[in-house]
Amino acid sequence: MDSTQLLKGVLDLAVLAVVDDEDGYGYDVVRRLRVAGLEDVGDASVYGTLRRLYAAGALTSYVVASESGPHRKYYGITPVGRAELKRQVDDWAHFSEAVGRLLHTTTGSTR
Amino acid sequence: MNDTLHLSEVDLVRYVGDVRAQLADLPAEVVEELTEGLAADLAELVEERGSEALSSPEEYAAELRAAAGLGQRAGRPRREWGLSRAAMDAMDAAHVHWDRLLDAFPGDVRGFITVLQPVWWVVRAWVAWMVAQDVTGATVGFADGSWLIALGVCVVVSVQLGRRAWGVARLLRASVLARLALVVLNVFAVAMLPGAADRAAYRIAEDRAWVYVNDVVPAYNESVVTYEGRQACVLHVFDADGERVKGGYVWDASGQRKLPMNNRSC
Repeated sequence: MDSTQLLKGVLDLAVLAVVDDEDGYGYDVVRRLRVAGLEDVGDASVYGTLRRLYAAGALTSYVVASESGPHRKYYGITPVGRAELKRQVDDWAHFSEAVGRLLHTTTGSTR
Repeated sequence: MNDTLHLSEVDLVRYVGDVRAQLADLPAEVVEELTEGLAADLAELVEERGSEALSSPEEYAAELRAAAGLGQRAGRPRREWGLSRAAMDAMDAAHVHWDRLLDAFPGDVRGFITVLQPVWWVVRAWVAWMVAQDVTGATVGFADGSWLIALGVCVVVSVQLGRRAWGVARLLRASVLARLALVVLNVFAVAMLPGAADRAAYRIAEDRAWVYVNDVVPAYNESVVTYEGRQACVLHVFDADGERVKGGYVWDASGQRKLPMNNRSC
């Protein structure tokens, strides 16, 4: 299965988790997702997700001027975002446990 | 090495411009929201993974749009006016070149100039104020109330423009005309600066002359002896040894008039 399809479903969760860990600007978030093992994540998808979460009030943003080159836009998590993260973490745990159990009991099916 | 960096930065500015053009059907605030800080992110991406990591601006914009939950582009692509786009690109490129030029000097010249920017904001406000006086033909004293308020307004507006406050940042990104107008105004202020300084110097000199004249004229009194424009109210007489001659008098050249030795009307 194409992992980008899986990724789409959990990108909000992954982005919220990364920003919850520490504030970050667009490419920094992309890099941290990649380091965490989500190598196929698309830059524009992450930026778009950041902007959407911001518009939904889950993230806050601030601009940091750079001495050399264009300024950076940082994102941090809001209480709304933290609540959303908690909800999605619970959903994910429930979902992955269910899928894991299913795969375990259905012998012979590897995928 | 420096040259390739240089080029890629100009290219990046153009790339962001192309992505913005693809989002042109969205409200200006949304486009701003989506692309603010994008240049910095892309610069880092290119630095780390090379320019091949960038997809086409169309694909990039589509991905951005989809992830932001904005749906696909509505209707026909709205083409930006070619000339306005070219002007925007040219100004972006000129800005990048200028920054790079400054960075070529030893020491942090750009940082130094950046710190001095607020000084220019105040100076241009003052130039505008002087020009306004010239245009209205007002001869304003330095402490004229309404004109002082006008000066305050000029400073606030100029500083806010400089800080890109009051939505100016967005306006400058969205409208090439606004950006051109700001450039023209700055050039105008630079051109008017010597004239304004000259006028101010003239006015200061004029004010001083008035003080001088006011000091001397009312004090002019026919019965007082004057020397080099100043009154000599009390005269003393000294002999050749420097001893003061008590009760001495001074007569004028005609020998007919005794000069007042202690003039009480002074």
